[in-house]
Amino acid sequence: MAKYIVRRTLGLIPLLIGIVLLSFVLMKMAPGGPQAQFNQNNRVTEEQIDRWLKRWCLERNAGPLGVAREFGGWAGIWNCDTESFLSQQGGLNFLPPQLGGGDNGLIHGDLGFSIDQGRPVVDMIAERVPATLLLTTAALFLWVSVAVLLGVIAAVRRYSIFDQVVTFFSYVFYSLPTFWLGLMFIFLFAVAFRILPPQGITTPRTWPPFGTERYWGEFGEKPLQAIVDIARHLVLPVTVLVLVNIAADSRFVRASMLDALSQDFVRTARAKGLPGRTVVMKHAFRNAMLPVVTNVALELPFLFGGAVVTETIFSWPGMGLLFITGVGSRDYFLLMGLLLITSLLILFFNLLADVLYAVVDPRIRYD
Amino acid sequence: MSRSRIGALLAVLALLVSACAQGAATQSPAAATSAAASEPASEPASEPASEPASEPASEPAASETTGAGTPGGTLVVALPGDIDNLDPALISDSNSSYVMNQVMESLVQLAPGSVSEIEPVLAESYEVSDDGLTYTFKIREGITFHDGTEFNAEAVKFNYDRWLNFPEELQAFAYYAGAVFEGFGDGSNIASTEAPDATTFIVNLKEPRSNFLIAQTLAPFQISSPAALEAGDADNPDPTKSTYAQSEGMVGTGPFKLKEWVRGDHVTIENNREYSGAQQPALLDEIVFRPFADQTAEFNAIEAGEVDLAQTIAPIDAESIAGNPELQVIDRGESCNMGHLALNQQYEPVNNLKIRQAMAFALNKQSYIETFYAGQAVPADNWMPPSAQFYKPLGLPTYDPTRAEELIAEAKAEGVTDLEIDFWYPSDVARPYMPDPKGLFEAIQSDLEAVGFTINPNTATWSPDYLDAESVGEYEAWLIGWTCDWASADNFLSTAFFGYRDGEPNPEYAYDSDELDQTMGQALSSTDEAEIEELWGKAQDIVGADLPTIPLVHSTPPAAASAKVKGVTGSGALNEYFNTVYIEE
Repeated sequence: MAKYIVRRTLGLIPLLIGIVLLSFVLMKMAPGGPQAQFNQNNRVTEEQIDRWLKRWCLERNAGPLGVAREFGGWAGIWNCDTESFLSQQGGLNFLPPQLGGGDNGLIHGDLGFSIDQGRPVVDMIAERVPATLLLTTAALFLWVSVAVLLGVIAAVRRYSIFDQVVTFFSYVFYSLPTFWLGLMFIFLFAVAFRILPPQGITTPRTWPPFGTERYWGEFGEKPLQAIVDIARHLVLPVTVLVLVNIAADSRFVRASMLDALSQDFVRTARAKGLPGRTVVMKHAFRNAMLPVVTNVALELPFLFGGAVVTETIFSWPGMGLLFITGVGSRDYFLLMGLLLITSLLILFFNLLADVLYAVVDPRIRYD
Repeated sequence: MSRSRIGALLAVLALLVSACAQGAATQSPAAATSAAASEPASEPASEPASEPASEPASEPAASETTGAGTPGGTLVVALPGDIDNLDPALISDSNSSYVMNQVMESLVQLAPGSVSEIEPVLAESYEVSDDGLTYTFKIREGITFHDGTEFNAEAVKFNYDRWLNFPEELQAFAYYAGAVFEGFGDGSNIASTEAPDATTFIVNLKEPRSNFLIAQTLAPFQISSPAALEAGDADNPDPTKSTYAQSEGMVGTGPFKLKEWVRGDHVTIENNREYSGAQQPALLDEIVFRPFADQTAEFNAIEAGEVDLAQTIAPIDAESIAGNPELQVIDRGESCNMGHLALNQQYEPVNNLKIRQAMAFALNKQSYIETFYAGQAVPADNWMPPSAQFYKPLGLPTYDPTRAEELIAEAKAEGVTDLEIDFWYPSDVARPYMPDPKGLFEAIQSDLEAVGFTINPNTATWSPDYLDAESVGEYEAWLIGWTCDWASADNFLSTAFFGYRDGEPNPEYAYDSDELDQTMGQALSSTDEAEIEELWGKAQDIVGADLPTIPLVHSTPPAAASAKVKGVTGSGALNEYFNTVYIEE
């Protein structure tokens, strides 16, 4: 097993390089660029734009080689000041500074700065993690629990009215676009009935902005009110995420459960005269959960990738909203930082899912 | 095991393909919202950075009418986007200037509610020499900056010299300084600035410019504390490294002062209790400006009571706001914008005057106003709104499809065969002068096809694609407009539309008229009021006769507020001042 994990982890490295390279190239292929902010200013000369771009290790109308240099600069292989693979110290740029290398780029642990705000990308992402985790953990926990519950009942009472109703509604919500559902919820519960806040994570009139020092100060003084306030803001976005995501998982649980219920050992258990409840919960359910566990592990990257549309609709100050902002201003380094972290996590959770699979099911072996 | 590997690949693919939808299933139309979000920051010139700020103060009459009111309280204001930065000289967007107008002051500002009336603020009075070259400002005494340092003529000179001598890297960010001074340093139209004593500031121009004074009402010409500029490294060639622009800025003399800016969340300004300037001191304790992603979100927030005032709402929501007893629609008075059906004369058939006239006769502007502007607009009869200085009605074609068909027949007789027009509209944006571009396009398309044109619809995202392409002349016919910087003929006819660029016709419209360009140039450099008026009249007649594009509407995009918000004076140029605003429970 240990050998397998090591081999898989090593295999991830080229995959990761491929992902970031491809992301970078695709992003660069999109029209525009951060220099679009000068488009309407006819006094700005091309030289000025070039000089400004160079500050960010970017090039105007970069061709394939140009994009490669830009990528190299971001990754830390290329040095934009010396315009070569060599650092100012004269050594190869990708080496650690102590060995004569440079200090720019991913390879030196530097995700760079946001072009739009000039702040370190790492700080900007770190600020947004709590809000996103809060939203996605709450949503994932709820939708998995409800999906398991619904799926099991639907399987046990196959073709019953309950089964049909669950099937019908899970497909209805599955097919509704998040943004539409979100807007409808805001309109109904925030505008028409005024029982829940329409957006944000805290009430701006009574609380300082979420995540600031002042906020945590006041949080410490009246934690109960703070939690209630956040909970009220969580209701709508979480409900939207749960409703649109429940379908896939509940169908999966239902199928897996039906599969288990038709197995010989279930028939044997029933034949032995065990009560129906014990048969379902002890024998069928446990077996049916094996594939479900893996499936949920594969959904875990969602925790970090966030819910871009939901965060946008509800102005939830998380990573998804940050991503949208970054796309708008073509903030390449911010986007690369977000993409890198998300892909890392996806790969990690996939590995975890594979390993878990072997742990929960001793029949599976890797060698 | 193979199953999960495919899972991994699928997940990665989803990530790459949709680029912004990391989670796959749940996220779909992210792209649609993204461009709208990006837009305020990235469209300097064509946008509404129409500033200025100012108050009554010097007029006792005005302060009597607005002076009363309950002091105290916090007002929450919804803005269509976040501010850009905290250095007035480096902004060109209307969100930033809307906030700066409360905190900063310039020598002269636009009177509340007016789009053209100039009032001295930091200046006590001003004088223009007969040759139009020397502007002498008498500087007000006894004013201190928010940081406690003294305001005087030397501080004004410091600011003007800073704008004139921006390091080259910063010049790219200082759109308005470059545009109004016509360059930087020795290459500009400014010969010199002088501060002979503490209360006198003089600007000497190389060539007279009749729009120089009104341009000084723009937010980028607001005076910052020299001490704060230096402490904040404001002239760092990289504006993201200047703490004045990023965190410690907006140190001015206004009735409010900056409390904090939390990016993407809010800007809070607080009452400047030490205010001793020309305007009325502020009543409110605090104002919190919060950015909203779109007009729907702004509307939801005001309906739900999350904000007290929404700076811009969609015209179609005005009716619902007016019907709610807890809310009010704030009238913006005179329009200061123009939306037009733009045409580029490199293309056939729109290079033919009869065809352009036929198009103009085919358009039912009144019906567009009722459908898309909820009546909050007037049909345009000029390239500038009636509020603009030197405006005159031009008698442009009005709705008459029969006349349009006749003109098309005449054009055909002259040899025009092609009646096909490639028409562009932006897919993802609402502008004050076109709240619903797609709807407006469809209405125009059906009017034009009714008289015999064939319209090929095309669409692109507003920023950067649409703006990039139209500004270099890639479109034949498209929808666009202009919100004024100041309400004068030159800002519309020359700056926005038909002034030559580097001695050549503006590629955007490819409208070639040396006579017009010369007339506008003479008008700008003339010092004789009567002559200026006559020249601008002539310029308008030339454009009216040539009909290079088809003006559609002048709109007054409404604001909405809670009914308990009092003392707001709406302005078509968005120069709205909150020092007179108060909350009456």
